[in-house]
Amino acid sequence: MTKDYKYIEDLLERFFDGETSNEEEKELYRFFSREDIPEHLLPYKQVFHYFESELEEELRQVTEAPQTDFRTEQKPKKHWLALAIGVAASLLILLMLSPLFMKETSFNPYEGSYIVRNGKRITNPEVIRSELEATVRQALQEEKEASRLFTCLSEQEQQYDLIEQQIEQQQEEILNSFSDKGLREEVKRILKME
Amino acid sequence: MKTKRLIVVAILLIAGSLSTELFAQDAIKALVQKCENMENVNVNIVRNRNKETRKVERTITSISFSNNEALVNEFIAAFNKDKEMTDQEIENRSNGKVNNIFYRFGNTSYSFTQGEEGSGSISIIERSDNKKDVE
Amino acid sequence: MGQEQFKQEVLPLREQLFYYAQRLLEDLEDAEDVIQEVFLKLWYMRDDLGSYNSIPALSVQITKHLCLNRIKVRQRSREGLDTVVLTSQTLTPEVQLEQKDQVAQVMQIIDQLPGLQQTILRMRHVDGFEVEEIAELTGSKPEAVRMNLSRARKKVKEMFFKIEA
Repeated sequence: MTKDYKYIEDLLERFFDGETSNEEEKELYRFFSREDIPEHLLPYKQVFHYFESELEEELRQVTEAPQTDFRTEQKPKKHWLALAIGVAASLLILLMLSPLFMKETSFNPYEGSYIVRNGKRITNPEVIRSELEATVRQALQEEKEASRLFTCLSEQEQQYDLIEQQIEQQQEEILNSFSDKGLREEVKRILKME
Repeated sequence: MKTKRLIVVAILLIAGSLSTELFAQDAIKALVQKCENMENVNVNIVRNRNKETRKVERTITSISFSNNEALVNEFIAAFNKDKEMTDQEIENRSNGKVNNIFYRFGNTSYSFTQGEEGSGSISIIERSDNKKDVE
Repeated sequence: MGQEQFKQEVLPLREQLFYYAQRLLEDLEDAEDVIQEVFLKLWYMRDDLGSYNSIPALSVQITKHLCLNRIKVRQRSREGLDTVVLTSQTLTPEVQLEQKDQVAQVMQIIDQLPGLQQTILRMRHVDGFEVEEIAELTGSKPEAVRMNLSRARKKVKEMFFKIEA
C-alpha cells in the first residue's frame, strides 16, 4: 500500500512544480476525491477540490466584476485629438525604447557581420569576434602595404620621367651641335632607331 | 500591343544589362557572392559600425581557400574584367604567374593574392565616407 | 482570433514591450512576469482587439499599468505594509459557500493571487492549455511559464494549509 502513496507523493511534488500532464492531474483529482485518504495526505483534499472545480467558479465571478478599463484606447466618438495624441505618445514610447534607439543597451560594433564556412553562415557574435578582428587587421595591413608600394612605384615612375626628360634634352643639345643640316638629319635617324 | 512590345523591350534591356557587367567592380562582386555558397571557401564579412551613429562605416570582405586552381583563375579573370575603371592598380607577376593584384576604385580597395597549390585570398575594403582609416 | 493569428499579429510586439517593461522595472525577472501577464491579458481580450484603435498603443498601456502596479507593491512591501490580508474565516470552501450570499465583498482564493498567477491558473485549469501552448502565446520559454504555474499552485496550497495550522 505504501507503494501507491509513493506514486501519489511523487505526482504531488511534480504538480506543485508545474510539471504534471493533464492525465496525471486527473489521477490526482481522482485520488483526492476518495474517502479513504491517508492522514498525511488529507490536507491536500481541499486543495485539489479547489483546483478541480472551485477555481473555475471563482474565475467566473471575477470576470463578471469590473476589470481595469483601457477605454481611452477604444474608438471614440469625440475627442479625436486627445486620442490621437495618446496613441501617438504610446507608439512613440514603444519606438523610442525599442532596441534600435536605446543607446544604453549593449552596442555591437560588428552588428551585421558574419562568417561563412562550407556554405553555412555563422553569426554568433562571441564565436566569430576574434575571426572578425583578425580579418580587419589583416585586410588593413595589406591595404597599407599596397598603398606604400604604389607610392614607391609612383615615385620611381617620376624618377624615370625625369631621366627620360634629361635624355631628350641631351639629344637635342647633341643635334644642335651639328651645324650641317644633312648630318643632323642622319644623326637624328640613328638616335630614333634606338 | 504597343505597350506589350515596350514592356518586352524593357525587360530585354534590363536582362541584358544584368548579364554584361556595365558597372565597375561587378565581376569581382559577383564572384564573391558565389563564394558564399561554395564548400571549402572561407568567407568573412565584417561590418564596422560607428559608435555614435550606429551606421556601417566600413565593410571588409575576406575570402580564402586552397586547392582550387579553377577559382584562382576565375578571380584573376574577374579582376581583369574590372580593370577598366580603377584609380590605382598594381600587379605583381613572376614567371608568368600572377602573385598579387591590388586595385583602388574611389573608396574601395580590392586585393588578390595567389599562393602555392591553388590557394588564394581576396580582400575588399569598402568605406562609406572619405576617411581613409576609421578607428 | 485563433492562436495562430494571435501569434502572428500580437506576439511580434513582445521585444519592444519587454524593453519598455525592463526600463520601468529595472529587473529582468519582473519584466518577464509582466510581459507574460500582458500577453495573457491580450489573449483574453483577443476578440475585442478589433474595437481598439491601435493594438500597440493598447499593449503599451497595459504594460505601463502592470509595471506601475508592481512598483507600488514593491514600495508597499518596503514600507512593511501587507497588501494581502488572509483571514481564516473567508478561506475554507464551506465558509465561502456561506458568504457567497453576503453583500460584503468575498475574498476568494483567486483574488489573493497576483494577476499573472491568476491568469496562468485560468489558462491551465479552466481553459486547459498546456504549458508549452501558454509559452507560445506569450513568447516566453516554457520554463518561465512553469515557474509561475508552480508559484501559483504553491500559493494556493499555502493558503489552504494556513487555515489548518
